[in-house]
Amino acid sequence: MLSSFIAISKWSIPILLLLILIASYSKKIKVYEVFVQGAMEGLKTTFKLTPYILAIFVVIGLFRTSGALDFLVYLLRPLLKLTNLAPELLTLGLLKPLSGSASLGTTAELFTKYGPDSALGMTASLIQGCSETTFYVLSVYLGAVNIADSRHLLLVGLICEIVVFILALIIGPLLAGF
Amino acid sequence: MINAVWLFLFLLSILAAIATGKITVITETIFTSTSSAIEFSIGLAGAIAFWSGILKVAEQAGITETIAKSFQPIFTLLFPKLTNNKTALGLISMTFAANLLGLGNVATPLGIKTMEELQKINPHKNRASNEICTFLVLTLGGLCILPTTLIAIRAKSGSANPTIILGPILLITFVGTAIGLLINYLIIKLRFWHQRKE
Repeated sequence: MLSSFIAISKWSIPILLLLILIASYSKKIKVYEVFVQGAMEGLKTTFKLTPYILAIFVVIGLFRTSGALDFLVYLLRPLLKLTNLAPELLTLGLLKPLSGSASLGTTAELFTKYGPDSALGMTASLIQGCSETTFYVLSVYLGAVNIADSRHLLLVGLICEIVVFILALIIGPLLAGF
Repeated sequence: MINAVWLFLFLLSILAAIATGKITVITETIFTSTSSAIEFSIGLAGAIAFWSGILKVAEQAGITETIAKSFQPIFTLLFPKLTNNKTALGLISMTFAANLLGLGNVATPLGIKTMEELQKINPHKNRASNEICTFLVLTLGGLCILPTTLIAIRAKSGSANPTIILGPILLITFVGTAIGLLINYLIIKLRFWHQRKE
């Protein structure tokens, strides 16, 4: 089961490309010209995206280095005591919606400190693997098409985030027993 | 709302830097994070340009339509208005599949292309349409069969069983996505955010 998923993941892109090229050849499409035209449109899109990416990177950078993140974790300390939750996991949970690369770094640090198969390592794996970079995805995807009114999206995204976080906290320690 | 979060994070960070006496950190961080943002954008530009080119070829060759048809049973439920829009349905399907397989580098370019396609049929260009909301909630749910980077890191950190997390991750992301889609559906149906501006 697992190996077949890994195989699908490995083969999907080369096969998709092959299919596209064969189909375009049989339909006599001028592949090169169409590709360049599409790539040009794509470049224009990225140019529009850059300010959004810049805005997020700066704020997340400041949020981490200024001590604001540690301060938030400190504020939530009573909650941590109540639920017996390690502060590192809360840091990870707060970081993941903002930045995938930053939370990946934190997860890797947790692995070296506690081991990937410990209760903490398992829970961190689940938080890292399950939650999305909500804030980043919303600002970049909506920014690409200049939508300012995101309606209920951030709310729903954060609810998903919290649900996933709680489930990870419950299931993570169970996995360490295996 | 994103506005408010951004402002909050920015203000909190500056206040925290002042409170902890790490004032020099602000300018240093601004310098390093702006340059890494531009580096990241340049990397992303290549991927987006390449996949935009390939997708344009795929669309003209009719591949997008074929993919749309194979995913139609699932997505006509979620996107009733797009039943006849094969390009949009095809792009949504491909983005979903890329996320499912943990192909993050491909998923972002596809997702952005999908947003452009959905924006074409958005009646209010400044506001997320129902289809855009559903598509983004589907993405934010993060349904995933194969979190490739995570498995790699677990293996590198010496895990005895790096892939043990796959089942739980599929389960948790499935629950997350289902709850997200359900709330999204209810909000759209009950028109909470819907006619606010009219």
